[in-house]
Amino acid sequence: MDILPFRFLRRGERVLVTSLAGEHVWLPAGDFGRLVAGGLGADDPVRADLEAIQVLAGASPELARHLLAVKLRTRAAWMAEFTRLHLFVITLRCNQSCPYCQVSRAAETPDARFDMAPATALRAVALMFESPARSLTVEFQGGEPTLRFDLVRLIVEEVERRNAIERRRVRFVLASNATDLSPEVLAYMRDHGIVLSTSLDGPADLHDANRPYQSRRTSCHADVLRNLDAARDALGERAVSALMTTTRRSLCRAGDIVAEYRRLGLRSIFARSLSPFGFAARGRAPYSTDEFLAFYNTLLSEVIAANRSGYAMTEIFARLLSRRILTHFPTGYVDLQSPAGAVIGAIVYNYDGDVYPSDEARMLAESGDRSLRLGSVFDGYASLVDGPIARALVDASIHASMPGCGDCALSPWCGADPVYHWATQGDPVGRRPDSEFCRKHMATLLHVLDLLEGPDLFARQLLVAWATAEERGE
Amino acid sequence: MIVRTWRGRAVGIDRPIAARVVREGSYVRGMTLAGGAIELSERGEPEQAVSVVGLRPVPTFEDGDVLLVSPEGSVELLFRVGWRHNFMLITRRCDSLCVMCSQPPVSRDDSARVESLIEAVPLIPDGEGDIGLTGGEPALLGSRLVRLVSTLRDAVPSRPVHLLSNGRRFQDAALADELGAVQHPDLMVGVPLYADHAALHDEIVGAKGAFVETMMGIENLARARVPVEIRVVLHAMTLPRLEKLALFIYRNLPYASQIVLMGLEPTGWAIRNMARLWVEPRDVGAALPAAREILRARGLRVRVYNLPLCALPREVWDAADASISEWKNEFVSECEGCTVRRRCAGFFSSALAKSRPIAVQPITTTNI
Repeated sequence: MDILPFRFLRRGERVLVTSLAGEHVWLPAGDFGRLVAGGLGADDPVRADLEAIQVLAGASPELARHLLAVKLRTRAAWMAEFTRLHLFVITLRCNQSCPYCQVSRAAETPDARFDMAPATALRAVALMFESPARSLTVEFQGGEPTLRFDLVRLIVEEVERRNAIERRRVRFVLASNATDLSPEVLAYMRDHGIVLSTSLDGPADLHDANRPYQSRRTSCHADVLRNLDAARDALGERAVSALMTTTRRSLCRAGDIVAEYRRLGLRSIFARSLSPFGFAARGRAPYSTDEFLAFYNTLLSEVIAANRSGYAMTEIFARLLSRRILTHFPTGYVDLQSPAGAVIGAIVYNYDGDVYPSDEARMLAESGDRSLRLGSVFDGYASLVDGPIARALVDASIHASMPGCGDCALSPWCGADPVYHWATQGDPVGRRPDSEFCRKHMATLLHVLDLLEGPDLFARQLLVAWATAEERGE
Repeated sequence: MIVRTWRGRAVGIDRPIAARVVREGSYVRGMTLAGGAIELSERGEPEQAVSVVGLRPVPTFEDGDVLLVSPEGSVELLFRVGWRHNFMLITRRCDSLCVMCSQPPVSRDDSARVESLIEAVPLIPDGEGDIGLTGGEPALLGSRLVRLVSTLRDAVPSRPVHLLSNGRRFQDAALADELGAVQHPDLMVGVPLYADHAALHDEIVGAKGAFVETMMGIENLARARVPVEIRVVLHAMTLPRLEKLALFIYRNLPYASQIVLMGLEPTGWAIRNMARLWVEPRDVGAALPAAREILRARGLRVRVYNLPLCALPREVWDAADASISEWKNEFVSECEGCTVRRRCAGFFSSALAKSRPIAVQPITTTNI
């Protein structure tokens, strides 16, 4: 028999079968039974479908192996680039006091202890250029990075100076709450090609409850709206995007949130669940994964409905999942990879000069657990990216060797998050049965898969279009 | 139908000669590259030492045509200046035996022919129309085919070259690399792929192992940076899995320059196998939007060839090309009042020679 390695998942009377390279077919339970019993005859009608995705080797094991190899290589190609995303936490200070962010911000009042020193910033830029990646993304984070826009300028100009020789493709992203974007800041962003990634949690009442100012009682939402308009005028529609964080208050507001994005003319929304750092890790999760999933499914159907009514809008998480399912091409999203994107896809330079494998690892350190600290920006490049922690995180996030993932039919599409599992379970590999990461990703993948193959033709075509927008040059 | 080959009596010709037509009044001469002249005439008696006389049918050569004249007295039209598409038959031999083959192969060794073609190429003026290289299976010529392509690159660099090959010989990566090394500025290889798995493809092309060889060949060509077009001939054996084939192409050959979905040319073996192949053109057309959408949504370019617009749903009209070569392309009387005739593929002459196409529906202002 010519069966190649495959994974499967039973769902009712049907069985999802995925190939090594992440292509899939659904088989009726009876056909699946014949497959695993080795009883598929040469003329069995199921054969063609399984050969077409190399679950069966067919006439030429060599060709099947070759096709699988090309596709696996495509899926893994991002690793050869090495670290592309470089996060600069230039200050921990912020003018807001969002309840969901208490571990990663400090008071707004000037305090040099919470700002990145210029020498640290310049050294971090030097480290970034030691990465072999041809494309580099510099993301300014905080805290609120506009509180120290002078550091943004310092870093941008140092990057530009070095890149005159290095000739990498460099992208700048300012992750700002957009409460205070002066014309000067916007002009600088425009002149240096810096795009804006901001937070918008929904309509005014929701946004202001989630994201209050530290020292004022005025509406943050009103300021964000004004600055969104100014930013789109200055930078162009495509250079401004927003994402939302789901809180307990958001759970019953999916429709309002999507309506608000639409009202503001935003073309994408990224529905994110709260990270457990500082909350779940301390046993105070604001809502269950099931509650989030119900919210997410509603939000996604609201986004689809908006599209159906003629307003083009993308939900980024569904786009990532459908891209993982429908193509072998990379998503460029570090949180949905195996091995995980920590260090090999992204790296964080903290305001205090410490280097972390991910933003979550940095937050973990802020809440007292510094065990994932890679070192200091003043350490050598190799000791940071090829040290024991970096290696342990990669080792602990390869699906094939992770219990529960190695034989999961969804694993070719899923990611691994050793930092999350370290934070929540004390073990970077983690236990799948009580992993909320696993639960969330399995559920959302299956939901997207259902939409991709469901009766709603419009939704199907929309998700395909999202997944392959890059190939169409959109 | 336009004649491409004439037969007469050769005088003073001991090997195939390529020549360009130069008309002087009613007198037609072929000028060879070396400057020698050949008399070409329907008259019975030669006036020149080197000539082909008694040509039938009566020659309709045009100034600038490039001809291949054989010692046996045949005169073949290799190139016509006014045509958008010219093609050269490289060999009649083939290593596949497709059920719908429009030009059934012959086994006689005609490998010397390519040398005559290489001689003929410098007679072709550079210009805009493309040049097709076809067969049989051109890649059977191996390095000699590569030499022809490099001659085309040197002599007519502005003319796109479209090579039709089953791709099997390019499983030899060295041959693919050799072709890539020519660095022709506008070369595309059109490779037929009829199924998403070996058994069906091999059955259609009548050659066991062909699927594997073709897949490896396509990949070797892509690796050698030769643009590849995937061709799917639409008939009763390919239509049932067309959407699955589209997905297979995207998953495994996403670098394809374009995917061409083609109507069947009802000539050659397609006639004797018609019972296994025939699908009403309108039913063929009805299957296209879904497959086309799968490919288009994934960023792949799709073209539809050889099907008249009246057989196609409107949503795929933008993908349809007037694709049938001038010399074998016709329309029927119903097409007279049709408003989209100018952009329509029309019919193969061979299709009309046998019987009238069923249900031609002229597109008029009332039914548009």
